[in-house]
Amino acid sequence: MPDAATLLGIAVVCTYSWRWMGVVIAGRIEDDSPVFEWVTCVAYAIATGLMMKIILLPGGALAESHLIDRLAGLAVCVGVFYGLRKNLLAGLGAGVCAFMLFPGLRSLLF
Amino acid sequence: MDFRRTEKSRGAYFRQGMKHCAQAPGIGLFAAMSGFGALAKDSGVSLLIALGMTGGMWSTPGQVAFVELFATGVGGVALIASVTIANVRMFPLTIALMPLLRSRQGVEPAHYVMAHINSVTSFVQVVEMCRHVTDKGLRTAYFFGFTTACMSAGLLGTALGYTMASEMPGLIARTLMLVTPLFMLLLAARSSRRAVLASVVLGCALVPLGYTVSTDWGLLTGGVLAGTIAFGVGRMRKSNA
Repeated sequence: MPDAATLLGIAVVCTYSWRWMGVVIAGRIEDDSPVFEWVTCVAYAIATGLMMKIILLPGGALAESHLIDRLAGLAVCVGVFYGLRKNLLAGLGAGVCAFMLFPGLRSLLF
Repeated sequence: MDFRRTEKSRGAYFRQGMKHCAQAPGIGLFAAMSGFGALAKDSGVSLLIALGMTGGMWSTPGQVAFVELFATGVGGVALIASVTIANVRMFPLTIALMPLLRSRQGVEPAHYVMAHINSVTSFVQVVEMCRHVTDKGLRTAYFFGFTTACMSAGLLGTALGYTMASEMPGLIARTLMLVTPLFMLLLAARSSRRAVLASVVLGCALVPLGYTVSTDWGLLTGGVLAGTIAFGVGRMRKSNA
């Protein structure tokens, strides 16, 4: 595999090419065409799927935590988010706290 | 958003944009980029590369895909393809942004800069701001203020997360690494569009599954498959209705 700096350079150019195309094309096509609906669906699926992959199958330091603790963090995060009318920061904060505290709670109970 | 007491000058709107970034959007972005910094540290890239990703790519899905796949040691082609497709959202996002800010048809050099510093967070903010501000010049000034502050918060967050993960291994580093995934999942869950929510649910199932089949191509194929199914089902429901 090429070194990180080379890969970064290529990745930056590839990412910017989407934005560049957007500037050039803007105004010439409708932004509610089915193609964009599809692009949006794929983009969300990849982004959230990748995040779920990190929670379920992490590499590195996060892999040293238990799956059950990560899932507890996720469950509390989503629960508080929906419970407080989709409050993002509250959900995030609660999930992070749950992840940190759940291992201790488990050792107390079991 | 209240603009009634804002002086009608570009400078005032630029500062107003910066101020609005210092609230929930900026805090969320700062947290997400701190998490990215920790993930980047864990993947073995240098701080400079991590900052280069935040400043140069400025798109969380692609940045996270980069460090995740880099850490796994997949092939260069698979990494670039995955990162590029993960960032495809920037294409429709740019197209949707331009009409809100430009004063006339046609491309100006500033548009290429605006396209780069645009992000999902900024776009959502700009749409809300445009309900209160009609002048395109003031809108653009606000956009630059908001995005400049966002980019600063993002770079600062990346550096902080990276440093904290280096200096405070263990629970702190692990927790930081969980921040970005949780943040991005909630950000997507805020959408009210059914096709998007279906993509999220399917993506959360098919991408990890794809990854267990192929570390090189699982992310890309799982994501494209999940998004396409969600899109297809949404279209069928629409045509039936």
